[in-house]
Amino acid sequence: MSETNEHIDKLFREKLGNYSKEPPGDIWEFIREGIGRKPQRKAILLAWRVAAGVAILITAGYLYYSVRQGEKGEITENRSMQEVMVMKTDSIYKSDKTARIVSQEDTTADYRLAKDETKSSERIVLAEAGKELHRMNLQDAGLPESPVAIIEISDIHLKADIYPADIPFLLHPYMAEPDKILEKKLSRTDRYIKDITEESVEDLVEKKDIWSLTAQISPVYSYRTLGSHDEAAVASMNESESGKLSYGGGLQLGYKATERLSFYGGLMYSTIGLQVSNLVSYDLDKYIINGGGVIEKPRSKINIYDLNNSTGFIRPDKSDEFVINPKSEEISYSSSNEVRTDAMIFSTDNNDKIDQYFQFLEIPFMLRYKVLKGKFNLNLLGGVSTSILIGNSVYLLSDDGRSEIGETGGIRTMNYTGNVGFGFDYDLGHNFLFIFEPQLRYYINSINEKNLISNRPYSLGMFTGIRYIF
Amino acid sequence: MADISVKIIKGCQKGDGHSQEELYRLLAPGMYGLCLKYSGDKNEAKDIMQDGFIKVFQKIEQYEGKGSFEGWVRRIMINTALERFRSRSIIYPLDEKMNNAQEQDEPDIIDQLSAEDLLSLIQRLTPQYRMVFNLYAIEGFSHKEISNMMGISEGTSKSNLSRARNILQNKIKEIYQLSGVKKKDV
Repeated sequence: MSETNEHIDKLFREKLGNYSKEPPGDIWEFIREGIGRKPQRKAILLAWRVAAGVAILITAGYLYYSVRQGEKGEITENRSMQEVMVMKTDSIYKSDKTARIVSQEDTTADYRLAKDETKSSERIVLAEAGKELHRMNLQDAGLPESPVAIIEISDIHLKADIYPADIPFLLHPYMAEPDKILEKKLSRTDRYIKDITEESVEDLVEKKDIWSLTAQISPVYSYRTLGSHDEAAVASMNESESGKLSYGGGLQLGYKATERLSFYGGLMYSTIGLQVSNLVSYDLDKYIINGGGVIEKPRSKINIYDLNNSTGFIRPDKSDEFVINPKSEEISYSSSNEVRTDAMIFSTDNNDKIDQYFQFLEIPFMLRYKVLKGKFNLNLLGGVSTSILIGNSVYLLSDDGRSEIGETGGIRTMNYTGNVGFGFDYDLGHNFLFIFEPQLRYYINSINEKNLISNRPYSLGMFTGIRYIF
Repeated sequence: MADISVKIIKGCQKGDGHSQEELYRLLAPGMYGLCLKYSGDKNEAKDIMQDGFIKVFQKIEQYEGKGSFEGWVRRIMINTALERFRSRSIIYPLDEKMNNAQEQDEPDIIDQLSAEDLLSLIQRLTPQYRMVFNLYAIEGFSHKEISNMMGISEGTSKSNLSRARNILQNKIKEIYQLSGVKKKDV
């Protein structure tokens, strides 16, 4: 059979291989008209390209300079990529991502990938890695020595294996206007895109990266600022109160609006705390009446004073312990017949402390602006959060240990904070970033409206986490 | 092979009308022959020829003198035919339907089959079979190259080639039978 096949092929090859025939006479007239007309169109096209090219070079150059300042060594590669852009697209996007393309001869070449962001669909620019491509500029190019291809990806199933053998068909300068050629070829993406390696697919997917999901956690140091006309009270509270270290964290979803600006929001959990020192605690279940006898459980007979501090009044409703601040509080008793007003409360210590904790569910709305871009990004962060009180507890720290005694009364449920910070991102590859974000949150409102003293907590967190981009 | 001098090419690169015409006259018969092979009829061949030559003259300043100039032009013609095939292939049926209405020559023996006879057989293939057969059998491209050029799979290229050969073979046999020539394994 194969012999027959070869016979057939040979027959036609021998007889028709160099077959020639005098063409009809009118063809030349059409050709002459055709070449007479085209240069004008070509000149307009050329002028347009030059103008577009200059504009893009200026923009790209500016962006390139502002972004890549200090990152030397990649300049050459990126510059040549820009020139490809000037030639082919009005894109200003650059990338040093590479894709491994397996050629027909089973040799491999690394191509840089870049996305043309000005088009709604993905357009990937491939440029042979490490080669200067400015010679590809169509205005002065001869036949290309370094193949370049622009592949349009209609969807993100980037299974591609671009054969260098295809590339001359994509961009061979003797084809008609390059833009048209591209359009035509690129509509047949299935032909040119077969099987890019796994890594490249990830790289390409990353180019979409408009969404991000961030998980972060942080130790949070919190304290408060006080506002009051009563300077003595403020001074006293500042003396007895101190900040607390606790934890916060959560999940945030981000949307990249522009190359530099992102919005994000999410759900965060945070705790702020305050410690009050120099307290005296009492056991409410026992007290000593005059004469030395101990009476059990006369609680109903005692006027219990709340402990007043900068956050409000602490109600000891979960414990038999009763705490006062000896410097600012007094304790008195009912004047019933059974209990004498001069009874001594059973005192334990005068060096106890309480810890107050407030747990909030935060719904942040934040802006992130990228100041420095690269493997390592620096961002400025700013925004507001709605902080919903979900937990409120007070613990007594005494010689007997730590016990919950109740909660602080009058704390607002809905609170608002202003947030600022820095964000450091480090590209871990595979669409993951390591993030470190020192952030300051400051309450816009006093957390206790009923209190005469305005208490506005602030917290400083060192948020550490992982961001996934998709 | 036409003898194309550097002077003619340089003249064409400068846009000189006389050089262009001279180049055309030298290359036209060979290229028209090529275009006929890639066409269903003379009109299609003329279209490819015109488009191809216009491209040649537009891009001639990019010819750097590497390789045969005629080969360069030939490749442009094939690409033009491919472009045309790609843009029009959709309107053609996939299965071969030989046009029997066309008049057939009846040569006495296989060696007397003229180039024109073979050309007319090729021209009556469907565009896709014709393209695959031309590229493989006459130009010597591999199936992989053809699959890339035409936007079809290698398997399709192979099966199209085999089908095209079958059709051509049967047609040749038919011609023998009609002319009473003893069947030969062709």
